Amino acid sequence: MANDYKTIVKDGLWDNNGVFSMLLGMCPAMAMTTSATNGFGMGLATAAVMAASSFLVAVFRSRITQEVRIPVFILIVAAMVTLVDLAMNAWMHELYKVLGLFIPLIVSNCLPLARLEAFAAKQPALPSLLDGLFMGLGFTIALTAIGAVREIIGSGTLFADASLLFGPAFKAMELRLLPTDMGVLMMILPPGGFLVTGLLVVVKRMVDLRAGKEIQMGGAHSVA
Amino acid sequence: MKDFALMMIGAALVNNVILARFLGLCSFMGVTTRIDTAAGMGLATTFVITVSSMADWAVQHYLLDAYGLGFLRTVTFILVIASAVQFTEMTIKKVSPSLFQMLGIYLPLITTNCAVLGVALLLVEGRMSFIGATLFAFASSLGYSLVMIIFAGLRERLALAQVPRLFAGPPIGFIVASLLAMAFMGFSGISTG
Amino acid sequence: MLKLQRLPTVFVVFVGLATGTRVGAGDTAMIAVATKNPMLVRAWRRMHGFGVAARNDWHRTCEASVKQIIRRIMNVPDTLPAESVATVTQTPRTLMHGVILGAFCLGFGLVLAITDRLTLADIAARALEDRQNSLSQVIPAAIHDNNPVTDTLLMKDGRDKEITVYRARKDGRVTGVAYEIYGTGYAGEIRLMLGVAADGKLLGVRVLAHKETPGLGDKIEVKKGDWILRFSGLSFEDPPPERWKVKKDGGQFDQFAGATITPRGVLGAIRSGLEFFAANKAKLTEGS
Repeated sequence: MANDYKTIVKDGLWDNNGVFSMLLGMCPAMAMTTSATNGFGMGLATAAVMAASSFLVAVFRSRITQEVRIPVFILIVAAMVTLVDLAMNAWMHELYKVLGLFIPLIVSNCLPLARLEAFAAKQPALPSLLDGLFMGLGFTIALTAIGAVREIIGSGTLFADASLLFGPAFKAMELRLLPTDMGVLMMILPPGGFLVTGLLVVVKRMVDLRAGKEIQMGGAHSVA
Repeated sequence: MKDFALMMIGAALVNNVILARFLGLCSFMGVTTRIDTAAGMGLATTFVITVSSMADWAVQHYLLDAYGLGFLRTVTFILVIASAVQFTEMTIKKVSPSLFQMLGIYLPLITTNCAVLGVALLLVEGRMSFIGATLFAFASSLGYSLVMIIFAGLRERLALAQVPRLFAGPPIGFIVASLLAMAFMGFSGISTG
Repeated sequence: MLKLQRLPTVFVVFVGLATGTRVGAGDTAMIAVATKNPMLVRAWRRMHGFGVAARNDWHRTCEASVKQIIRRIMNVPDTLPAESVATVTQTPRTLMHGVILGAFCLGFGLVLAITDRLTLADIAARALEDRQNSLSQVIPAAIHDNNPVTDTLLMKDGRDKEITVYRARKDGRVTGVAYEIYGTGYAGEIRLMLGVAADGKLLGVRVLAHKETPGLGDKIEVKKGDWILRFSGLSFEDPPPERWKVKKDGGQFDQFAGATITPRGVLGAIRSGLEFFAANKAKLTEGS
């Protein structure tokens, strides 16, 4: 069993990474990555929704018939998103204001639904919880990575405003790596989002290739 | 009138749903391998975005606002969208079976297209009037279709090009999309009047 | 009160029942499109032409390909029990599905209603803080002893848009007002908060929200530049209305490097904001 859990963790964080391998959940991966801080916050919100909804689906899976499963899945994700939305509005207000529209949009992020359908609908509660959590954390890592690259090149900082969004404890994370005027503006504009995501997918392929793994040529889209 | 025209140009080109707002990227990368599929998807999405935005506007004003149920917004909107998809499917099937043959199969894809929910949320948060909201939704979805078709055209050409193995497939797609987004940035400032 | 609380659940159950079972077939069509599997596409088309038999056929075809695809892309071991394949071949029992969906809607609707109750006070407090923050930047603390956030007036502006006016009072007399103004920037609307003293002098302008280009147009933000600070103390007489423009348009205010449209939009907003003040001065400063 321990081996299974190890696979779940590895799959979620790297092998089947939601963004870089399956190319799911691209919308927040580009819209919310103008800085590493934003990407990190968005990733954590998504991870919370994924863990909770995977767990709930796994618990209720015997009650959900085949025909109604998609509406029920969407309903569960929507409910979890609303919980996160309300909680963040109340207790993490600064972060909430930055993420704005993209919190309710977690509902139509394909990644949670894909995991419910592929994993949680058939597995017991604990592995499902872990799968949701680690897929979500993999998503967080991807978003933070894209955000970090865009932020460093675009504005020369790393984790700027982290203390504002997450609390004073994160002050130490805020770095300035390049002088203010050296930023390449294009990176924090929309084209930079596409470019960095594309290049990071290539980087992941290179690393996989080095490790002697077969590279996944398409995302989930080109196969399924 | 001029206000509406500027708002529509802004929604379709300047703040393009895909290239500036980053909504609907899954379908943008997923179904743009051929022009005719992209056009079909675009047309079907235009239908659904317009219909569901009108419905969502009404739900927000007459149900959620009226009874103080703002917290149910996400849940009801996604259900309204699912119903709108269903409704569109039934209507097209009845009105034009040949159109249904062409578009019907894309319709179920649209429920999880974040462009639909995104546009609905945008117009609710922008506190638009009903007519403004309808035009905004329509213009946004036209912008969506336009970019889908352009991108599919580019990808059809790209399929013939020799791309390094590491870049083949999605990565080169992203880089092309990045160039397209740059081109669309040229529209900024067009709607300032 | 009771009636109101019951409404969300009743509504959600209704929508749940209405959308019910038919959406479920959707995801399978999604797979059909994505795989470009001609057999699936044909089966889907057939399903819409025939009755239950065709539908079951469709479900069986889809079930098989779903399993195959999941195995292929997700690397998840195929653990789908055999009996779930059997259930899809039965005639769909619409009513039961509606009940299941309805029950889930009811349960989650309830959970959400409770969470809403729990977070209501905090969310309201945050919204109040936000407004207080933006108001305190345009209304100096020295000129009021009341709380402008709660001393409001609802009015219609020149474009017939409803705006909330916040009033600052000292010893009961109105010393200044603040309200939101809108301008059209390079990439969309710019929302600003304008503070005007009772004598018509500007107390300050601050940007609330904008979509201008980072690095160029965003110098209108107070944390990116001091451009926006230059308006304090000016009024509609000083300079005269026709000089409330950027230099390029014959006015007296500098545009900044790389951006003309953004400052033009901000100035337009301030101009119309001051026009609004001039037109409604009596009502705005009532009791000063």
